[in-house]
Formats: sequence, C-alpha cells, structure tokens
Amino acid sequence: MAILSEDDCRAILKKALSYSKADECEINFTGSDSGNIRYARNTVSTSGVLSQSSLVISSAFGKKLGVTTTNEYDDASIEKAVRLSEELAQLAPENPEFVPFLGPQTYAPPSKTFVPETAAITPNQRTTMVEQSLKIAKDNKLTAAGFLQNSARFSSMMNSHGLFAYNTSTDVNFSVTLRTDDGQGSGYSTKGFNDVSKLDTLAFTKIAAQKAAGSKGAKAIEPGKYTVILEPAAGIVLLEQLYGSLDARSADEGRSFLSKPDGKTKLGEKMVDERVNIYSDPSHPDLPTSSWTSDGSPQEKRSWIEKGVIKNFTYSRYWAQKKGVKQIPSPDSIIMDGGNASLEELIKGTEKGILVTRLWYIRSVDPQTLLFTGLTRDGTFYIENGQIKFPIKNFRFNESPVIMLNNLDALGKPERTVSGESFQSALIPPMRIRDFTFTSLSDAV
Amino acid sequence: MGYEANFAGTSFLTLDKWQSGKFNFGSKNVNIVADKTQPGSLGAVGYDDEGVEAKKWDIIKDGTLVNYQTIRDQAHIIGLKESQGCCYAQSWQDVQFQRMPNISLQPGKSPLSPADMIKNVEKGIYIIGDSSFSIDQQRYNFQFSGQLYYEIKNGKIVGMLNDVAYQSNTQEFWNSCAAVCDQSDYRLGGSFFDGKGQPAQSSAVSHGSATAHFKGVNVINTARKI
Repeated sequence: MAILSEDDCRAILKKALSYSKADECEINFTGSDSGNIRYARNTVSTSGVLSQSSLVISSAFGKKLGVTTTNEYDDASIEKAVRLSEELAQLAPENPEFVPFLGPQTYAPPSKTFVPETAAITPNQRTTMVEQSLKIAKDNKLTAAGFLQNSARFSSMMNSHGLFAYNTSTDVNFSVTLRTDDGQGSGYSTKGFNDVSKLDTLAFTKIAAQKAAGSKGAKAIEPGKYTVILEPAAGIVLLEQLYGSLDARSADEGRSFLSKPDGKTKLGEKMVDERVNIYSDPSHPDLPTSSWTSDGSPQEKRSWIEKGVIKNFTYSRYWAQKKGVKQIPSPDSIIMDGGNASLEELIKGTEKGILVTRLWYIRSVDPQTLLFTGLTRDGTFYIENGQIKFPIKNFRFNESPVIMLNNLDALGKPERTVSGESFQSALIPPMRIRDFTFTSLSDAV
Repeated sequence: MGYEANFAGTSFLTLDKWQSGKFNFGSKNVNIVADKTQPGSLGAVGYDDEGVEAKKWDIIKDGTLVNYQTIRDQAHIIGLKESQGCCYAQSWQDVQFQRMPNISLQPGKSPLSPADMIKNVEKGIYIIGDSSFSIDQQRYNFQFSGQLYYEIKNGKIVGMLNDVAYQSNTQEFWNSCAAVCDQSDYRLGGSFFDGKGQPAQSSAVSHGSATAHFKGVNVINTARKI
C-alpha cells in the first residue's frame, strides 16, 4: 500500500469509528512498503517487494474487549469488521486488567524518522548495493551471504475519546557474512539507518572481508575470564537484555533481577559502574523514533540508568494505575553514552584481551541474576600489548549484563548498530570489559 | 550448503560425512527419525508448501548419519528422485524454503523405565523439562538446561539441585548416550517458534524422546551474584 498521508489516514479512521456502537473503540491503521534482496554462495537467493496494511479495531464494553483486523477499506467491509469486534467483545470474559483507552494526548514534534530517499529505493538500487558487496567477496576469493532490506511505513490511530496520532518512518538494514573458501575464516558486518545515504554496503563488506581473512587459522585458548572488547554489534545483544527487562511489575512481583528479598525493588539503587548512562530519546538525530506508542502514549526523552543508578522502570498502563504512578512505556530508541575513543584506540590500550565481533544465540539462563549464555562468532581475536595478535576459536559465554557493566574498563564512541537477535537498532559504544566469563570452546567457524 | 550462513549459520554435518556412509554421529542407541506425518505433532501436514506429500524417514540409524532433509531443489544433491517434503513458508506473504520437519529420538527397544534407568546410575543428575537452549552457528557446541534437577547417588534420588546447565559438543554428547527408555516413556515436546531465514520466519515443530542416559557430560553451576 502507498504511504498514506495524515489526512488520508484520518479520513479512514474517522469513517471506521463512525460505525462504532461500543462503550469505547480504538483503531490502529498501519501500512508499509518494503523490499529485500537475500544472497548466499555469492549469488542472489531470494528477493521481493512486499506491500501491506491493516486496520485493527478494538471495541470494548466495560472490561470486555474484542479485536478484529482487516485490510479491506470499502465502507461495507470496515463496518463488518467493526461489528465483528463488537460481537467478539460481547462474547469475551471481563479482563480484570483492562484499562480504558487514552484521551487526547500532546506529542513532541515528529523527529526525522522518514527519509524520502529511503522510501524511494528501487529494486535496481538494491541490486547495485548488493552487487558492490558481492564484488568485494569475489575480489577477495571469499563467499558472501547477506541481506539487504528497506521499508517505509505509516502508523496512525484514533479512538472514541478523541485521540489521534500519525507518523511515518523509513529504515534500511544490511548484514553480511563472508567466509573463506576453505571454511576456516568468517567475518561479519551489520548496519541500519533511517537514511539510505548513510549505508555504504561496499565499506561495510570490506570490514567483514578483513575479519574473514584475519580469522583463518584460529588458535584454541583455554576458556576462563578474559578482558574483552565488545564491538557495538556484540554489545547490543547483551545490553538489550538489560534495558528490555526494566519492567516494574516483574520487579514488584519478585520475578526480576530488580527484585529484593524484602518485596522491595532496586529502583534508585546503583547497580552498575557509574560511567554507565542509558537513556531513550525519540528526537535523537542519529536514532529518530516515533513520539508515540501503539496505545497512543507519548514517548519522551527518559533516563533509564544514570551514573550506574536505576532511574526508571517501565510501567504498563494497568500496573501504573494499580500502583498509582504515571505510566512509562517501553522505549523505542536506546542510547548508551560513551567516550571519544575509537575501536582501534580501545585495542591499543589493551594489554591482554579478546576482540569480539558478534555474539549470537543469546538465551536466558537465570532471570534473577540476568545471566545469559551465547557464543562469539564471525571474528574473534586475541589482543596483546595493544595489537591484534592472532584469531582464536569461538567461545561460549555465561555472563550477566549487570556483572558485565560492573566490570566496565573503558567505553568508546557510540555508534548506531543493529541487534542480530531482536533486529532493533540502538546507539551503543564499543566496551572494554574485565573478567568476561567464557565457559567452553566451540569448533564452529 | 551455505544458504543460511549470514543468520542461522551452517552445519558440521557436511555432505562428505554422509557420503562416507560411516559418520559416527552417536552411539548405537541413537536412532533419529524425521516424520512429517506423526499424529499430534506440531509439524504434521499432508503436503508441504511445494505440494510434496509428507513422509517419514531415518536421519541417524544406529548412530550413523544416513540422510538429510530436502526440498525439491535439493533432492538431487543427495541422489533422491523426489523431495522429502520439507518446504515451508510461515504465511502467504513469505518465501517457502527448507525447514526442519519433526525430528525425534526413537525410544529404546528393550523395556526400560526412568525408575529402572536411575537405578543403574551411581552418580548423576536427573533432568526434567527444558528451559534455556543455545547452539553455535555450526551446531557443534550447545548449552541446555531443564525445569527440575534431581541428584542421583547410588541408584537413588537423594534431593534436588539448583543452577544446573550442561554443555557439550554434539557428536561427543550423542556418542555418550548409554540408553534410551522404552516406548511407554516416549513423549513429544516442541516449539512454535523455530526461527530461520531473512526476513526471519517461524515454524512450529515437535521433537519426541523418551528419557535418555548420557555419561560424562560437562555440567556447570550457573549461580552468580549481582
């Protein structure tokens, strides 16, 4: 579906709402156009363009809620979907945690989430961008597998209490893995932006090519505790487990690393190194996001960890009401402060340590300590006296981001990166961490 | 083959290992079957997303790698005349591609209950249920944990344990399989969210097993203080 204007969205939402006979009705109308190329074994494997939209109608009678979704926008189809949501609501049991929909809200001015050049990317442009990546692979006698995807979206909502919100956004994400022909070396690079002009697939593939060639002939060293430098693409997958777990209800109910045995929580307590500052800011120029959430709540600039102290929890609307506090939605953008040092400077300042390109298959081991396991992948190197000495075999780790941020040694300059686990973007510095816990070796390349 | 090298990864079970006809994946007790027809399983279908009829076939026979999982494009690579019906797309708007069928460890042929199995263990841990699971990008190294852990001493359960996880190399682990309980203990587990592909797609799939005994597996204590 084309990216509809604010007026077009308002007209369809108004029409849909006019059919409502429920106590309350809220309607979300979203759509996107996206395109992708996937490649492997140095050739394109799949590609396509996807255009989609949906109108999600939520009707409530008291605490009974019914939801229907349609993508047919003629009057009769919309009315039918509204009626169906009302029928479902009448059949549904009461939800004791139902919270009435929000009234009109004031949102911050929209940040630059939509870049017309990204929305206008053609199949030909995608082909050229991937061709540049494949050329690096072929020139270096490496085998490439990668993925390039761009999308443009509109999001809008309206409810029977007078709330209306609208936003548009674009993004383009790229990742590539290069492997040596003998299967003994592998390198990775990933980047994502709102603005396609910032995405240089050639330059990012060159980084992956260097890592692939450099990781050939990896040596095994003993598992144990090592100083590590986590590149942003490695650090994000552990950090997102921390900032994604700041839920007040889990902490209050004793299910979280933020719970205390006496039933209280660690809100306001210093839990990590005082150099750690993590916040969200929808208007950040390098990571712009929507100024409102899908339930119509405003997204504001908010500190989550300040000088190592837990400053805020997220509160669902139900839990906020129960606790008599203000609702705090989960953030869409995360920024972690860093320093000015480049990755190269962090390496130079390392006496002995391990450079980690990527961590993968991250899984929770113990929610009470926020312990996670996973493995290094696609470029793991031993550092001695400020220089990369040799590639090493991959490790499995068992580590908590809380312990990791207590063992913080140095922070580099933050950069925008993409999580290989959640596919979310964040601004994360490269981090040098002491005593990172590796528990076994992996034979995987 | 390398189609998933950028995300889900590749496999150590390369074609040369299958071609040798004697790749020792596990002990003689290990029989692993692919079955897209198994009643009650999450991955049971009549036909796959290329219209190929669902089948059942051996993957590991008496510990040896004997077969793979193919779609129509891939069947010829291992000398098959037709696909094994492993093509799947999560919805109409996704590209169908090769996905894992139900994969299950077959029960032992001799009568053996979990209670009898425990009687034969001098020192060990009885693990029930699954919790954390993580594998490397070539399926060599894994770490898993369970829901409940019981300590076994001299053939008896003597108490419960906390903070247990086990790590191993896949081939070493399956070669340490000393016994598998019989059909009466066999049950299906499964996941609705087996992930693969870019854009990522989810597939629902089951894994069947009876209680099994593995010797000399590396167990770690996961207790940490924050």
